[in-house]
Amino acid sequence: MNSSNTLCPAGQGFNRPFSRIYAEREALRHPRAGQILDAFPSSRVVIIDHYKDVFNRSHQSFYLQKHSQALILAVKKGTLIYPGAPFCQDFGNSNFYYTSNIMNCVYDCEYCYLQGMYPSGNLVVFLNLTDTFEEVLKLLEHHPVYLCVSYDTDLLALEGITGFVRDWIIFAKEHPDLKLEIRTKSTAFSRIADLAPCKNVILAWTLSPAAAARYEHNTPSPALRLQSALSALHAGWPVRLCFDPLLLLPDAAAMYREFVEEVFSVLPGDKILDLGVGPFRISAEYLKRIRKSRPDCAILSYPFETAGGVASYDRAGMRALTDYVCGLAAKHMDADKIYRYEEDE
Amino acid sequence: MLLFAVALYSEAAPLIEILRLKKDPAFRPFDLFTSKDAALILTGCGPAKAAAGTACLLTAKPPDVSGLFVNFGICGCLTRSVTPGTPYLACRITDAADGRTYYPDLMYPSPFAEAGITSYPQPVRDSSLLPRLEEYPRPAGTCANPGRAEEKSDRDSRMSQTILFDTEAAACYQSASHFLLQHQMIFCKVVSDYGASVRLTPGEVTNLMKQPAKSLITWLSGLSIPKLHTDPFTPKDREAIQIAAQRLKLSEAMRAQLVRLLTYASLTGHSPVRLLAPFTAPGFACTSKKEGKIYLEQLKYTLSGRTGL
Repeated sequence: MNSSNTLCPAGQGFNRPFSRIYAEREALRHPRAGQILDAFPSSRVVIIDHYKDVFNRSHQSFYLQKHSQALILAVKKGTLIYPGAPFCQDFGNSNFYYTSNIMNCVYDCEYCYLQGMYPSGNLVVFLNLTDTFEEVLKLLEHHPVYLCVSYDTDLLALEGITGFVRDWIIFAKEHPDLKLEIRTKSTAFSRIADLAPCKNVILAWTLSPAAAARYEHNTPSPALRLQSALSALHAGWPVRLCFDPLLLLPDAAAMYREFVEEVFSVLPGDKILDLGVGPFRISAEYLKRIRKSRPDCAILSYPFETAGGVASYDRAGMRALTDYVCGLAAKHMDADKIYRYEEDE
Repeated sequence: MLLFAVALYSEAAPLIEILRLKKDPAFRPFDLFTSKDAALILTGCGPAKAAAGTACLLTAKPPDVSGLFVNFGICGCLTRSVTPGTPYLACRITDAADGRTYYPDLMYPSPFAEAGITSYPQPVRDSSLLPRLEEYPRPAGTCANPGRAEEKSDRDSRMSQTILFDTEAAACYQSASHFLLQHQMIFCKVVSDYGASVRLTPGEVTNLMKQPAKSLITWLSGLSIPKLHTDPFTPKDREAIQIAAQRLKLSEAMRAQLVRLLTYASLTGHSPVRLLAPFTAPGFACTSKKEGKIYLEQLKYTLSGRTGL
């Protein structure tokens, strides 16, 4: 267990991230609690009854809390696994589910939907991972399962604190009918590099052009992410790339042309498991909330169009951008391995 | 703007002196002391007065996004080893009346210790009525050598226990949370007693509060509360938007679209004035709303980033 206090650099004038840890009484009894507390030896610990007492408070500033993120240790009750959301790509898999052992992310991407979904910028870690495993086993009794475990967070970025990715991989190895996707923008592959690759665990890197990565605060640079993905490929892991969200920033054509060239100058296209391509899209309700709390965010100030409760670029713009990027990528990898998000998906 | 809610004058006197606050004689129904950058209200004792006074203050002096509200006052302490005059920031506020607990955000580094506080409906004068120190579960999965006393004690010292008690904090929180974001509320409490029947004179209270008040103001003055957001438009941009919207004969909905578009333009490094120059130039004429809509669509396409796709 390593104290990864540099994950989310403190904003100037703020307490450093995780300098305050809220812990449910029940969570404190969990074996992982002591390990996590020891990783932050100078943090204050506040005992709470339920994580929602802190996380769901009204009148929180998601944006400011990101400058001084608190860690909340909790035990999750109720539903642990959810059917895959229509916003998300299933990559041709049936029985598509997702789970959130962690709510929120150490990164601060300006376009992130979590800002509209959660009332708080603080990070909740549910320590009872084994309860989720039990839920997965119940599903596996009926059918194979495609499970995304790193949607509402970046699980690998937090590996130094939680060790969840390692446990998921060990669990998946014992259950070949379970296919896992672990999506990340991190460079923390090194934390699991000692594990033998697992063919039913997909490590998925979200990659962005440098101009777009300007809006992904605290994330490793695109070049470093590429190197991390390359290390995983070399080690024999199934590696997925995600060009998602595509952003219609000024001069998008040149930006994505250079980006795709750069990606495939580092990563061998024929070794990539598959590629997901999707334009920026967000629940209109979330967009409204985020614009209110972050009105000077360039990406979100775009005059999006709303259809069926989803805000995105107009249909023609969305299609043009997706076609363009898929076309560029198809020069480097099998077109059948490129999955594009369709508006009516 | 610093906004203080304090129960009694004897508690507030050092703040009034340091901040050079002047009483507003016209203000009713509470005593209000103000300066250019601060205001302090004397709420009186007890939860009802504290809530009413807080609401009155925050209505009279509506805080902006960088405003801070501070509930300052004396409190009792369950731990006799804590010296009277020790200031704390409350990280956990429990309302003894209904058992609900609140957690103000403490985002800024401070020189103060932190603790939880319980607010009772009336002063606790009989220490036998006070709860025992909270028992919390020992974290499982202990550190390197769980048997070592110093490691246990280190863990214990990191726990922010509820050792304080007063009559106002929970009421102030509940009232202030209607006006402010969580990180804008600060509860600074100074230990005065241990729940015994000893009553301090007003002079003794003021003396007790002097140093904590000084520390509090020094700390608050050094805080730079970030301006959350910047205006994407300069006054010249706004003027150009006004002129262009008129000349393009835009409806209210189209005008809102134009503003949204130019906000995006400005935030991505374009100059709204320059973008609107063709429409604000002398001699430009647009004959109908329909024509204006075409110009708006052209502008939208130019900024859409779609060129070359």
